[in-house]
Amino acid sequence: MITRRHFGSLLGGLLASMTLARRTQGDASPPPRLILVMQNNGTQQANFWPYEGFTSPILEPILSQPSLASRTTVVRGLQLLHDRFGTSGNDHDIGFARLFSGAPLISVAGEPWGGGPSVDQLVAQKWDTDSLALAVLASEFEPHPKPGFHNRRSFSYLAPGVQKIPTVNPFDAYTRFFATASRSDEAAAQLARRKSALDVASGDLRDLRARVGSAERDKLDAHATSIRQLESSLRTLMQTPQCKPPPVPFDYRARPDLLVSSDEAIPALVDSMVDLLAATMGCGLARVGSLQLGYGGGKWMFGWEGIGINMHDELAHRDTSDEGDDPDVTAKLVTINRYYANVVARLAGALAAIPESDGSTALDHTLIVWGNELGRGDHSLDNIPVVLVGGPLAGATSRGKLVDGGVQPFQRLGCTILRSMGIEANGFGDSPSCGPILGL
Amino acid sequence: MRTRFAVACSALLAACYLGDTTPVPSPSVTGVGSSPLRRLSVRELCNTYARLTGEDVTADDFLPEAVALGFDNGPDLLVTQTDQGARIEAVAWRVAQNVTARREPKVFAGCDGGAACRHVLIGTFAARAYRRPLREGETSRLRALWDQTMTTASLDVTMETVLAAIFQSPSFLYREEIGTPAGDARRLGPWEVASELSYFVTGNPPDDELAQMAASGEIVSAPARRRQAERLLATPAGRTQSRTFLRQWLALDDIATTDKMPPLVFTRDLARAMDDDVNALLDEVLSGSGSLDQLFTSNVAFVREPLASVYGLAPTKFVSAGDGTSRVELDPSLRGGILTRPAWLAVHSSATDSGPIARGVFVLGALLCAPPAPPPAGVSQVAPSTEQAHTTRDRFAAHASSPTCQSCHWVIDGIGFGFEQFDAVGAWRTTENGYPVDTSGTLDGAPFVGATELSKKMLASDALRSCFTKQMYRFAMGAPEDARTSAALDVASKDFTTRSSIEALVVAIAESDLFVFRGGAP
Repeated sequence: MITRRHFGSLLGGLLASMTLARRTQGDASPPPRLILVMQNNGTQQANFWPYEGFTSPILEPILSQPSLASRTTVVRGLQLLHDRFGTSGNDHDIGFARLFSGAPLISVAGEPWGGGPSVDQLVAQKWDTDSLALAVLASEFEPHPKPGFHNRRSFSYLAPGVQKIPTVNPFDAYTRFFATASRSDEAAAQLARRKSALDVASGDLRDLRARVGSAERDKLDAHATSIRQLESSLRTLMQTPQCKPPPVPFDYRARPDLLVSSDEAIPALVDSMVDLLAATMGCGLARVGSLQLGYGGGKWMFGWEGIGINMHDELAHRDTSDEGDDPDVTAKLVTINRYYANVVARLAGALAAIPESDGSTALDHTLIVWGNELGRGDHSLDNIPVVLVGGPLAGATSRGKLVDGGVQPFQRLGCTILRSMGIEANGFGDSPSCGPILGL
Repeated sequence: MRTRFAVACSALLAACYLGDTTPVPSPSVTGVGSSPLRRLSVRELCNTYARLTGEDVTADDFLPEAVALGFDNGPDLLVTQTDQGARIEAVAWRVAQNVTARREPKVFAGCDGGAACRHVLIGTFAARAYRRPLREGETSRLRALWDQTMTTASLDVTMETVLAAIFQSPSFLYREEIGTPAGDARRLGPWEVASELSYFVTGNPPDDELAQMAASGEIVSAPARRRQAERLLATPAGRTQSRTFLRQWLALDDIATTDKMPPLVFTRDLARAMDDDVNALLDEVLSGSGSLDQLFTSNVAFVREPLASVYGLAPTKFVSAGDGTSRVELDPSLRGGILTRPAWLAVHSSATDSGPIARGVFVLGALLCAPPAPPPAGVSQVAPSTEQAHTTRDRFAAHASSPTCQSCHWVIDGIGFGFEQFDAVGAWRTTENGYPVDTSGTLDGAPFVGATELSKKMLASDALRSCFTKQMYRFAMGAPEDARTSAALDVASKDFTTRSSIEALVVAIAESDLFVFRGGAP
């Protein structure tokens, strides 16, 4: 039915953009990418910060690998203030919504929500691309969604009070990015038809936009952005990825409880999400990603680490000094936080194993930022633990070190991330001139 | 042919405006806060696909979206993100391919060859999908897509592609309530009113009768809106929608994700039995008096095996019907009304205890529209430990001794403690840890004992009735009431009492000026 000639004319526009994309990639060094990893409930301070020899009990999974340690910067001293901005938020809400968004919290139907776009979404908007937002939200102790905690479902914000909704079933992300990658003429023609159908929707949107006021235009513009970005994804899909797709993840539609009310599948879910992030970033199918490990203030039980009690109430809240109070609580918190370090190490390792066209690896062009909603589990917002792995890192004179130059406003983290992604910034969020992190 | 169709429709619209003599509203009802563009919520989208195509599309096919004001259809939060756009696209193609493969009669009736099919899809089906006649640009874009696709693909593939485009169009995905200027307000047109009415009363797109009344323009009059609302409420979709509203208002949907910690026994099977029990109760209320009185006092339960023990019923106490469920009349001194049902009690409690704070806060906010202020800065919101306290109530006694907490918790706990005869799964108890439970509480300063008396006290107050009308308004309009709409809402609901049918309020809102006028520019 489809002749080669028709096929060519159908795809003319698409092919032209592909060629352009390839040429851009060939000429310059590979483009930068960004992944945010968000953890809850703080860390065990005394066991987190690297000491002499650049290692620590918690960070050992990352720092014991020279290829990762030499690309790692640990930043101490970032501080958030306990200001709830008139919302019902507590310190979990502050750190969760504010660390990466910078803006003051706002009240949405009485709940404390993020007051501005988060840095991952600012970067995605600047690049006019979609981000791959992934989260593992299952929890046996406290199944979600529960009323009053919708604000803790996503740390990532598109705009004030508008969360980027994370994907929780890894199979959905796989389907979107990998299931349709095919070289066949029929697959290519289908991609072209998908684009034509989207073009019709775009045209209808433009007409509708002209009939409504500015508030509605914002809504329609968001919709138009989604269509444009889908079209752009279709173009990317036309280029057969150089790297392997990840293993096909389990489709949790068959076991929806595992996404909601059970801790059983958390390690498997996290592993699938890490594989997906590494593969999409490595293949250039996405350039901005995030992985949220649990709800803000989440209550994972860590049975798979042999713990089996709810981390938030039974452990984090009982960690009231940097040195730790109860040796048993401290030991368990170290185990839990090492699990998170292992997740980051796995992600960084997977990226380091993906070669780029210029001989470097995907990790050299992907900045992983591992953040935390609290400094310490008893709601301290001092010394928020932040680990930066991979590159580029703007302003860094060297890597493989701890930056420990005293208290710094947390907004500098956002500023540093923007600059690292090649975006001009003098500050971030409600601190527009704070500058980047000092001492990098 | 199709051009004439479009012209005829515009003529009808114009005639209807010219012929309508409804006076321009007073400023008290202008400025109604509902958005002129409301994207179909995931639930509405699933219903719309089923009605239009017979295809089974479920919430799992989409990203979950934020719940605003307790309801799933608030417009402000329904911003289409790219991930959601990808889901919308995937569903559009899947449905397009499935209905084309089986030549679904709902879509393809009259399609017997290329030209006829082009007319059926773009002329007839698209108008049903967009809930109004197509505009010129919409028609020409779909025709161009048809023609362009036909040059390279089969008729089937062309039809799939055009259907997929229809299902991704904002004209399908958004409910337009833009209207035209009328004084300093805007008045919705007949197609807009028909769509608004249908989604409000049934959660579904307009049926044929409503579409005919939109085409003739009749639907804009208040008596027509009343008649149609009454007719639609009696349909299965109308009943489901009323139940959906009550479930969302009471946050009963959360039973699906409610879980409890050992030693409490809470299985998915038990959760489903609880869910079925409240659904059956809501249906019985809606098909009975339909009143708040009945909802908050009924002692009827629908019990099957795992739920029997929560209700404290020995297996011999009830006779199983065919599906294992029995309609049981409970001891009215123990349980009366929706707030004494295990589903509501289990949702509104913590994973380990009865959660008097959660129960009190929910009753104040959702049922009485008087949400308590958030706790002040620097106060730990962690439940006190059980070590030194005999009962859950004792644990929270600290609230009363702290001046910071006292002012709000006197109100919250006063209500929440009234539920202490029910544990975290909703089972009846007279003791906790061997100590007697104390179920005395206060509502608005007046003492009561236990949840059944609390329910009766709320029915006797004006607060529940008045809050319920506000909640219905929020569900109808997808927006909170403000000072101006509150006044108009009071007028619309002046006859509504706790003895009225809940559905009478649906009709009153549909009939009111609030429903068809919007304030200011779009």
